[in-house]
Amino acid sequence: MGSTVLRRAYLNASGYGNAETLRQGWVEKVERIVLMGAIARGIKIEKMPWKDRVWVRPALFLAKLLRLAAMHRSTLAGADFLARLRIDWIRFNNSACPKPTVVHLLGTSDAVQDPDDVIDIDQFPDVVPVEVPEATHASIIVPTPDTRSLYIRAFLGQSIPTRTVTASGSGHVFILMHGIRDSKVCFKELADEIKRRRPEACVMLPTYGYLSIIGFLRPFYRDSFVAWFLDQYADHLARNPKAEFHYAGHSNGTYILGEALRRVPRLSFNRVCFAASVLPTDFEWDRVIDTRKQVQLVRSDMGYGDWAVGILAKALHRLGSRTIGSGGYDGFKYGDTSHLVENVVSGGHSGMLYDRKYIMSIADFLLNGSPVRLDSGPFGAEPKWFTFFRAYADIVAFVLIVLALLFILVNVAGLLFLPVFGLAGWSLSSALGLAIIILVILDRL
Amino acid sequence: MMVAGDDPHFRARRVRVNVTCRVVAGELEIGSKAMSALSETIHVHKLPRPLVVLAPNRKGRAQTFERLQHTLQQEPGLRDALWLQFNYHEPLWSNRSLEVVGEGRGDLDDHPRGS
Repeated sequence: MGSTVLRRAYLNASGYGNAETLRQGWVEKVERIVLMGAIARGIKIEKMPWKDRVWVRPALFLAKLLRLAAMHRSTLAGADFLARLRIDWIRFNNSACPKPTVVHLLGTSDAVQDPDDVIDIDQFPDVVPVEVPEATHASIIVPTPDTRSLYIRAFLGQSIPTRTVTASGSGHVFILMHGIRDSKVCFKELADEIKRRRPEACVMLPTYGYLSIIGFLRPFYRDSFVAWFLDQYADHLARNPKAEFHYAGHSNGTYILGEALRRVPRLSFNRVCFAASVLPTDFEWDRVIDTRKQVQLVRSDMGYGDWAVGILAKALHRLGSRTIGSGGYDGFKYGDTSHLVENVVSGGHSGMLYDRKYIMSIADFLLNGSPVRLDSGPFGAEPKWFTFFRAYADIVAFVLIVLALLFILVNVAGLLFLPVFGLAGWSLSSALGLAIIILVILDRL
Repeated sequence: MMVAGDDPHFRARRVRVNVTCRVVAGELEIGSKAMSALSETIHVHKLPRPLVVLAPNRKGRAQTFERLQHTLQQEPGLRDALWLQFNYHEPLWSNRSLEVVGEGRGDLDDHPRGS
């Protein structure tokens, strides 16, 4: 933890903090930074023994809910603090400014971070990675008669590297992120096309598995994918520190990127293509594009019959979810069309992704920056039911949720329908209620 | 010319610097106060002595680096160093103030002053 605090302090003072005002002159006087068992990628709960996992997960959920133990949570893989630190550290080390020598001592028995987790620290020329035999994450700060000389050499700046680290150094990284009720298969054709046209590029098809509507509606669960993505991004950036990053996202994939951009100021992409974006219409593009220069060009394609964004996401926004909205149907309020261009395309929420012509246009855009504008329409008038639900979906959703809860409650208890409809009626409605409960439990809605 | 002894903050033989971190939006950020405190410390470092800042793990306390420091202090290049160790004070129930206290171990007044 100390290594992250010191690195954050050093970056802030170097002008790589969130605010330029944190810049301080003392950084020029720092000759060496010695990191002992540094946390880079962060603590991964899945690497813990199951006996720890069973209580750590609920404890972390509670801590997040009650806003406790920020320092503990800051050391988890993908935490905003760590993601910012890793990305800033890589950007700083890629810059031309003078840097101190970094000696990184890592124990060979460190169960918290292995060499693959610290590539963002070890890969730069000013870093001397040194293995400390037998040392664990806790014992790395205690020199033994056998390791004494390693520490003395580290603090005196006379260390010799015992590990070699090389980054792959691809020039372009393409991240293609699928949405809810979907899998990475939806972008498989796009990935193949990019790889065919630019074989040297690194094309990533990350997946967070099947995400149901119920899962999407759970804010903490939805939020966990942002942390997961930040961890993935920082890892790709560490392995390709000089690469240009491009992004194509569908549905929840647009939410993940939007949230990540909002939280991490130095997360940046060259070209971004959104399909059926679920970001709110008032998403802070002005801050992301104009102030922080995180994205160069955005193409947002909106399905003409996209009820998931036009109705559901809009209703969620009206019901209080500020990070979800109908920007991918109603359009964004940000007005600079030289940086953000919106197209209306035929089809619904994900139909567009199975149209080869459309997939080719995304490939063209990500590879060459064009076409930004698509030929589309004309489209007929919106169906009346669509207009109605767009206007009142929040009220309808609220009523439906209450009714569904009552329905499930009553059926499980079996108190009401038995006398009214008899055994057969109750069995039928119970079966329906039970089916809904099973679907919710299995998370397949 | 800056003489460390002229700064009342560092006149004491046992240097103590309070460095405060603040927590922003549930995430750890080191604020400007921490920076200025460190700047003052480095300012003192105009003395021809190395300053070693030690940042232990969250649970780390004063004795964390005792053995390491003892080992290093036997080396000529580090024997005269000023050692400054951070300690963290984070009440579990509060996210609002995370205090990091640096406690220096060194004898500033007995050493030659630089310019």
